[in-house]
Amino acid sequence: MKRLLLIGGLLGAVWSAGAQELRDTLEASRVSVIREKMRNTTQTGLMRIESKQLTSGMAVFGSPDVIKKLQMLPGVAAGNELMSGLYVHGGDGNDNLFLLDGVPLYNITHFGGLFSSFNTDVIDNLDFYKSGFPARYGGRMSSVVDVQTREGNLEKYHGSASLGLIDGRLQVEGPVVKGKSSFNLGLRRSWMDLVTIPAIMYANRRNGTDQTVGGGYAMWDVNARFTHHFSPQHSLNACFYTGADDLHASMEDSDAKMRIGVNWGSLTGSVADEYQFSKKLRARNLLYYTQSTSDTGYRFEIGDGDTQTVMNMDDSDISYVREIGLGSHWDWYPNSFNHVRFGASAQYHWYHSGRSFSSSTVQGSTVLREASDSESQGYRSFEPAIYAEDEFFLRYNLTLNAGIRLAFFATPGKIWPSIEPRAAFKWLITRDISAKISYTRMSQFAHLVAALYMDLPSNSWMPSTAAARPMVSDQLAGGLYTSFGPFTLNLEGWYKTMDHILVYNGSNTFVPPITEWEKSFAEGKGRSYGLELEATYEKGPLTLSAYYTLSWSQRYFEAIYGSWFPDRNDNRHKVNLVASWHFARRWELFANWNYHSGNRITFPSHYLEENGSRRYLYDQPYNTALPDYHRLDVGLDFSTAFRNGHVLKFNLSVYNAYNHLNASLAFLETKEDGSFTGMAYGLVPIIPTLTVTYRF
Amino acid sequence: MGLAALLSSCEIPFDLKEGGEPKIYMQSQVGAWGVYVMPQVVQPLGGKSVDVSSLDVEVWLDDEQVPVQRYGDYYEGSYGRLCEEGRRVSVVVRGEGLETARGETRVVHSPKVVDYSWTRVQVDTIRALQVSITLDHAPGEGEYYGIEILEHDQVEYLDGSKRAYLTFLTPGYILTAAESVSLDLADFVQVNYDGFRLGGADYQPLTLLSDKHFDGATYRFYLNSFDTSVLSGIRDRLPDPDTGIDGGVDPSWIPVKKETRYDFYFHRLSPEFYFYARALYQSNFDFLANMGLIPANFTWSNVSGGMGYVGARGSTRFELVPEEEEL
Repeated sequence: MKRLLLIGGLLGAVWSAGAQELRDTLEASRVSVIREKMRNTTQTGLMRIESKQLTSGMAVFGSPDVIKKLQMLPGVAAGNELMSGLYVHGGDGNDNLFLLDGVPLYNITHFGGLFSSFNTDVIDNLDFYKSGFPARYGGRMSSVVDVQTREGNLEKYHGSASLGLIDGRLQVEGPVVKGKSSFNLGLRRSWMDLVTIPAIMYANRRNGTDQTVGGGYAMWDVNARFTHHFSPQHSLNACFYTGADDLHASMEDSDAKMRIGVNWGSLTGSVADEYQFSKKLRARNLLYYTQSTSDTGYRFEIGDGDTQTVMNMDDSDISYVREIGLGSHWDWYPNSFNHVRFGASAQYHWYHSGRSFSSSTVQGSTVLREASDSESQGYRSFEPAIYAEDEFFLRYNLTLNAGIRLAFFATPGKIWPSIEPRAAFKWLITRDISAKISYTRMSQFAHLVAALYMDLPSNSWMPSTAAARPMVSDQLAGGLYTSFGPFTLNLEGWYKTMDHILVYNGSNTFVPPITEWEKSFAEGKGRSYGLELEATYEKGPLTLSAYYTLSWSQRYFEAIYGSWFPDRNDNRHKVNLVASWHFARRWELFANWNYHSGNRITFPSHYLEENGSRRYLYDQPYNTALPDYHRLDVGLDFSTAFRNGHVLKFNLSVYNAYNHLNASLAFLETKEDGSFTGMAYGLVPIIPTLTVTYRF
Repeated sequence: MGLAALLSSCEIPFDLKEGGEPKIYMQSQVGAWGVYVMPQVVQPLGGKSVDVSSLDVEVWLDDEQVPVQRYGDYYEGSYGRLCEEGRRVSVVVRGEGLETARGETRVVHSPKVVDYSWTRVQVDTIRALQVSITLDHAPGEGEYYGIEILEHDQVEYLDGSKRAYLTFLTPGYILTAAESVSLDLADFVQVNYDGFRLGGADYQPLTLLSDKHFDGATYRFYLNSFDTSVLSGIRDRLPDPDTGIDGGVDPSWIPVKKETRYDFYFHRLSPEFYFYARALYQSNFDFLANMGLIPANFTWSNVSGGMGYVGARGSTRFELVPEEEEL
């Protein structure tokens, strides 16, 4: 009997510990200081990155970059070097849901992808889901990047100012009403134009002709958050973000004027009300607006001076996506073993893409020739969704998170329904080892209309239409997760299918289509599978992490090729080694080594001798891998504190420290003996960056 | 400036895919009476070349093998009768030491043109000849067509001699400046075509059409609207007199009269024919795909074990002869 009581007591203790651990994990979704271990969460494919991890370490060109941090994680391909590509589990890069304080962001890059739009100075944490998506997320196929900004300090004013190779940053936070209200403001701006504009003006004065040139580029963003606590149970958050890029160039002399301007960016605003009704029930209601806009224009005036004949040409491309959303999200703890989340959301979208052109030839006051034309395509769509999920203990060591999301997408002439089951199951084998498995279905109702694989302002978002079906992914993931003292070892695998994905199948390689854009895209499917290994040692001042991915990513588009073929980011092996060492009170050293099998390109595979010349033939798309990619980045932080508590920090980051030029593009070359070789070209050498940060 | 200086380029040679094997490349065009097949052996870029002396060609109509005759470098399989639309035709090519290549398509019949005409129109400042071709139905999605235009000129010279000229034309479209900005070249696909081969050395343009080129059942275009000499009248298009060695003009090269006839070949194409020809055209942009900038949409083939295409075509021909006063 005593033995039975003892066993029962032990089981009860373990169960209670498990329940408490569950509660801790759930609380962690609000309290960022708790570092989540993969072993603890029921979901697969989730990584939480905290503020300190984002702001320390490498800072290419001076700004720590969220997307470049995520690119190092297993299961993620980076695409073209230095760009902000995020190809998760074989995804396409435009199928990731980026949320900033719960608000979707459609454009997440600056400078054509060189920087991401997230200012790490104001970020509290981010959750990155590659699989096992909870039912509360929807609308994208491949990943969720849920970024939360930090609440301002309720008691004291703090801030920081940083200056890097390309940009400068300023962050200020503090109380509005002590103990009740606070603000957190982050500003970031590139400063190159502040140097180039005076330099160009000086050059124009010195060139000795009547020709003047102008131009410049600037990017900036502003993050602001206001928080007010009505009571310990009730708080209100108002968040604002705007970011933009502006590129302009001009040339003028006595006969001609030319102006080109490109402006693109995002704007979001949200109000969230959080109320805790009891220890068992809390609610978060969110109202938001988000938009992404691009405006491209050029104007030419060419005259001949003598006859006063002037030819004018004006072109303007404007596209935007606007969205207003409302959501109500509830957390309910009916007992110690259930955590129910449920809610509803509704989004109204405006999609628009337009192009106008006019030209005229004028002699004096007489119009000799005049022409103008325009085209545009606009849609309005409505996307309501409801969801419910329950995370509950089946036994003391078995946890299930089961949920469902029901979404509808009403677009002109069609209503697309979507039923998305979500399930994740965890078996805590021992206190240190767990096994998990998950299945998720995700739908995506927004399509990026782009003619090039680049983040260009000419790209536009379009909704699913009667002719373009929503994209759907199904993903099965599972693995083993262990944690022994300072060691963490996780092994996870996935199999994912993607249906109704689109690829541009036209030949205008610079201007995407507007009207009947669906006809310029081929519909197909994709599949991806692989294994991820994550090993971490974390003790005292030393943290070592190793990530390895073995993966396959394939596509099938009937209009392009009659069978499955490799995706362009089908990188078979990927290795990332990350180390940080706080070796002295003021000094910290960082190093990242990145390796992956080369990105794929399409090369001729065969040739045909015909009338004395060679004609090249292709056996399948993306049939050739570029040389393997590898790069070492190192960084060194030096911090010194002043008596008033302020800190001066220097960060020296060296991108591509051993100056290995990785292949960016390639061509076929014929050798002197008639044989063939591939010739790749590397573009990105060693890039050292010094960033100075003053914290006050 | 510093950044630009750092971004210096560097060449990195690398080996192509090893173990590439020679393959059978076949171009097979299926008609209502029979099949033309041109099989060739293509050599791999990253492997060893081989010579294959002969290839065996089989043609199947559904499950029935049909006789095949060789004519030089191509083969002709004949059904011996007019084949119904939609019948499955398979082509199999074998060669010693090579993987067997197979492909199939379904028979299409010639398009039913119920009306064709042309008219003078004034578009902006351009005076053009607009041609209208009307089918018996409005093409739907997945229906593909092609058009070839040949101009036959018979020129009479001052000394009474006559010479014939043949010119290949393409359908013209008068685009506004704004349409030109949005122009997707994939909507104006022209491939080299000499009867049943694609991509040969001589340029004989075949223009591909899909349902989006039609206004209902009618396809309209301008007769080479980019060639202003056609638009301005036949007199302007007389060949320039040649100049002799001594600077004088040879009377046998002074044109005095020209008669013109336009032949139109209008084709119905199977999806395989269309996709392959379109891919051939899009391979003009392969360097951008190599840079990772655009999708690789130029590799289409429906030949398993080999490369190339088995596609179907049904053709109809009509002609228009401009009268003097029309010009």
